[in-house]
Amino acid sequence: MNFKRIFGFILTSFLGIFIRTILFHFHFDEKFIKRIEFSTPFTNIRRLKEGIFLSQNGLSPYEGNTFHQMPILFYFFSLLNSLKSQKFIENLIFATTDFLCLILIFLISENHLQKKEFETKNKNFFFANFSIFLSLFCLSKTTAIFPQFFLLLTLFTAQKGWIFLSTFFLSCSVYLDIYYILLIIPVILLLRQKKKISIFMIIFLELIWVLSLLSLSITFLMKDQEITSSSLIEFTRKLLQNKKGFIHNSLLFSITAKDRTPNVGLFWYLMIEIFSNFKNLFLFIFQFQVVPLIIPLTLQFSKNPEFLFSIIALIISTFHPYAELGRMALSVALLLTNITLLKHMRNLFLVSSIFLFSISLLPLFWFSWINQGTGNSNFFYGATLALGLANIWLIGDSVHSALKFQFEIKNNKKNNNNNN
Amino acid sequence: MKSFLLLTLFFIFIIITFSSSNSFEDESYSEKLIIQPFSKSQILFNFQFNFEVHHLNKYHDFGFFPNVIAKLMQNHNVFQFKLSLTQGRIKFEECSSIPPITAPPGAELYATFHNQNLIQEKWKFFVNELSGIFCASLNFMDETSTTSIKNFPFENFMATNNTIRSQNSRYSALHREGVCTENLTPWIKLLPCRNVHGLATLLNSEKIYDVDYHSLSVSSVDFKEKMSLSASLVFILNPQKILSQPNWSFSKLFERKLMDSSCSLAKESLVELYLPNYQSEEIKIKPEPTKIINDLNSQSLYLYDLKKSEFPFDLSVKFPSNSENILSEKFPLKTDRITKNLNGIFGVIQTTIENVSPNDLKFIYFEYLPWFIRPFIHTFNISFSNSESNLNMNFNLNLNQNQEFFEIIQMIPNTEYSNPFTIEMQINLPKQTVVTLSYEFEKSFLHFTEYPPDPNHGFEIPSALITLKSTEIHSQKDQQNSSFLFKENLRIYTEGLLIPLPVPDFSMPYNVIAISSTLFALFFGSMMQILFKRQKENQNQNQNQKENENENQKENQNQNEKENQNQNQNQNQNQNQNQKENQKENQKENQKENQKENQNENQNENQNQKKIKRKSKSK
Repeated sequence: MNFKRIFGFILTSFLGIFIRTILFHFHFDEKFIKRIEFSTPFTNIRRLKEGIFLSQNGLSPYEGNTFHQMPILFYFFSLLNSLKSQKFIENLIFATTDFLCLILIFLISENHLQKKEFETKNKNFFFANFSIFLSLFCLSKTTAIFPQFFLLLTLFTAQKGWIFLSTFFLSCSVYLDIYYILLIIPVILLLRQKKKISIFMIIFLELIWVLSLLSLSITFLMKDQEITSSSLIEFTRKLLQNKKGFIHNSLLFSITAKDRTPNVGLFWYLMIEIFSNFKNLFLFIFQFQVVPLIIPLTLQFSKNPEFLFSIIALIISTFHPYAELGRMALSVALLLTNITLLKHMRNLFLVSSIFLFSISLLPLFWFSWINQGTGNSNFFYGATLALGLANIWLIGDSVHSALKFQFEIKNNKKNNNNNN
Repeated sequence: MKSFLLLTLFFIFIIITFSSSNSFEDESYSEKLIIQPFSKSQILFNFQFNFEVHHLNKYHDFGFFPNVIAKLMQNHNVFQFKLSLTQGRIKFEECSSIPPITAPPGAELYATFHNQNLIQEKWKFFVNELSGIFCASLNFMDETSTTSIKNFPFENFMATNNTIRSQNSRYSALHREGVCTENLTPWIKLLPCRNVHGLATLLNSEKIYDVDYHSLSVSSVDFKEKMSLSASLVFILNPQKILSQPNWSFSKLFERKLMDSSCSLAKESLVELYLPNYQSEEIKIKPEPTKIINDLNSQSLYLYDLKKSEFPFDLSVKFPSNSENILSEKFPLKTDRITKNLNGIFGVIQTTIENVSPNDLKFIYFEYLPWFIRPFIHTFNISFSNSESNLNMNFNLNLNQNQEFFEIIQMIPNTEYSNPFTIEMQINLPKQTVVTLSYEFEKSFLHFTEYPPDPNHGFEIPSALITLKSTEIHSQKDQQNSSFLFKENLRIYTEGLLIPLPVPDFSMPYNVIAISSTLFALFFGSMMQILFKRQKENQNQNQNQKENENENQKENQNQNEKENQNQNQNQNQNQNQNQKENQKENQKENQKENQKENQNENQNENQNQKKIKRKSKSK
């Protein structure tokens, strides 16, 4: 790191801290918590608080069909709830996690730059801009920030080649949001770049971590509900069948896209409008269609696992049934750590303008549909479609440019060889 | 022989008649009409028809007890139930006397079952059968709009053990249910004399549905050995509005009068007329009452026994010219329930209850919300405030801890597509104090088939129920001699709520499926194209690269040329000529050879040549 970069880093972090403190000081968070663009039923903090309230009153937190998050997260926040200056600490946690995300992105991009033979300009200002966007993430106080944070940690540690930590962080994010299981492939590739370790070893480690987290959450629930596990089989049967248990309410909740509250994703309107006979078919296809894409992606980018990681993260955040702007923004920021991509992007201007327009139209259309009653749901749906389209274009474009970039590197090497 | 046969037949006939008359003796039926002033200009008419059967026999051959109800109760194992179908809402704030049976607008059904097994299923069948009997759409009282109520609000039934009530009870209300003559006809069919004889002759459906408030109710208890049923009809009307004068009579109000006799099956047939205390000369009441009881809580009772009265019976009251129907008594509680729209899909439901009476009151507050209104229970806030004593307290809901002022009896969180959110609590409200209960809620989005036919009307939320225990009132009555005339618990219903849910576009399913699928296909297709087409392009690019290398070489040549520009001008011209010749030669060759095979190469070559041309021209 040269002086310029350190200066940029300090500037960015100061800007980030400044923005966050100001926004929290003027209670912007109270407005943002209720915005459906930023928090969904899957990640909303108010629903988390509802779960905490229910468990404090001797009920299961999943009773009432409002709380849909994982038990460990719930216990973490219920510990906070007993503290005195609860709101301040809550704000602090979200702001620091968000800020750490920013720093991690910075560090990851530094790692990228060190690796590449190409000289690229320092784009700190770019991250500073994104820090404004990301501060919305912490203002809305969605718990989606935690799996994203663990995701960045995974990438960072995997770049360093720390096997145990990276698998642990990945399992944390998988535990909180099951879709991130797809990221095991780039993590394996990254770790195998650094150290010679078998694939099965990594998968085994990952499995152990996830299972331990799951068993930890089950023990939490057992303690809570005072279930004496006289027979383990009966207990597991209960766990699977109980409609007020965490499997039905958090694991299956995200897969089945049960809640139809609008978000910026593509699932909600389909779930409202689809004929119930075809619901499962469409749900399966739309959830599963990402998986066959992973194979060619892996084949193409086996030598660039960082890019593979970020592109899969962006795909997940686009096609998540409970999509959020914050998650999308962080994934885009992660993608743009591969700054060399920008060079070959064909329609960057178009994509960014669609992003801008659709994001600014979302609250307008929401207002005209829900508050004013002058517009209808199709307006909002149209805006989310445009956002989805922008994301899809961005993904396609970045894959295209990454392939071109790979090709260039290859040929430059060849050329160099030829010249020599 | 003939005479003997006749004799035996006669004896059999006598035995049958005796046995049947015995079963008649087991049953009793009474009818009563209570007329009392309700508010400044309104009068309340309360028709009560009570049935009782002692010693139920196996075969249920009743004399006049409605067989439908008895069978219904026994088939579904119902211990007791109460159904009310109501039009209009009592404005409790304005009323000066309490209606004996209060009901919320729409339909309300409460039932307790004998035992707990299969209670959900029993309720379902029971409700469906009942809706068939009374021609009401009670079948909408399904699992999603039914809840249990622990503290029995209908105390006029005999007290039984509490455990039955709390576990086996079901309560449901349909706020939107319309009530009309089609409900009245089956109700009248329950009565032994129909509307041919007795008090029910007054029920002219054209007139009694043209009133301010109209409530029809049936309640029944089954004690296995004995059974009781009470059917009642309450309506409140304003003679000032209908007749444009305060004086009224049966014939004027209903266009009917009791013609020939009272119902002969009735054990007693009474008309009770309550009026404020007047001097006997001032007020003119026809016909002469059988009994007058004065000074009854500042009211006087005019009692008519129809068994002894003359017919036709047409009650008419003529008030003194400058009299006002004043009853100084104030209603003890003031209630108000509103929704506030916060931000789009969020809102607040707020209930305020004010104790206007000079005494501390203890009451039970009960409300339930259907599942699609999702409350945030952690925002449930109970605040007491008193402007006089500067009392200002805020509480959050806590099931484990009982506060001084309130006590949670039960709280059931809602579940999607099944049980509604229910809260029941006891509140001790000090005098002149206002309690405000408020909580935030979120509207949920339904599947497009789950919306009712007119979705933009909104969803009706049943009114909250406040139950004042009868003992509470009685002690109060003793203390200050108030005019409240009720023996059972006083139930106060707040306003129902109308919450508009956000509505999707119902004409869109095909479009949405098509457009969303297109977007997904676009993603998948474009990704596949980019990822797989690259390899071919790579090959092309390899070719291109070779060409680039050639170009580089030529550029080097050109650079050399630059150095000797003047010298090489002629050479360039020569080169161009040579190239043209080459082109022609190539074309000729191509024509001779198969074009398809070598097209690409030719094109490339041509392109190269053209590029070279341009460069040379530019120079």
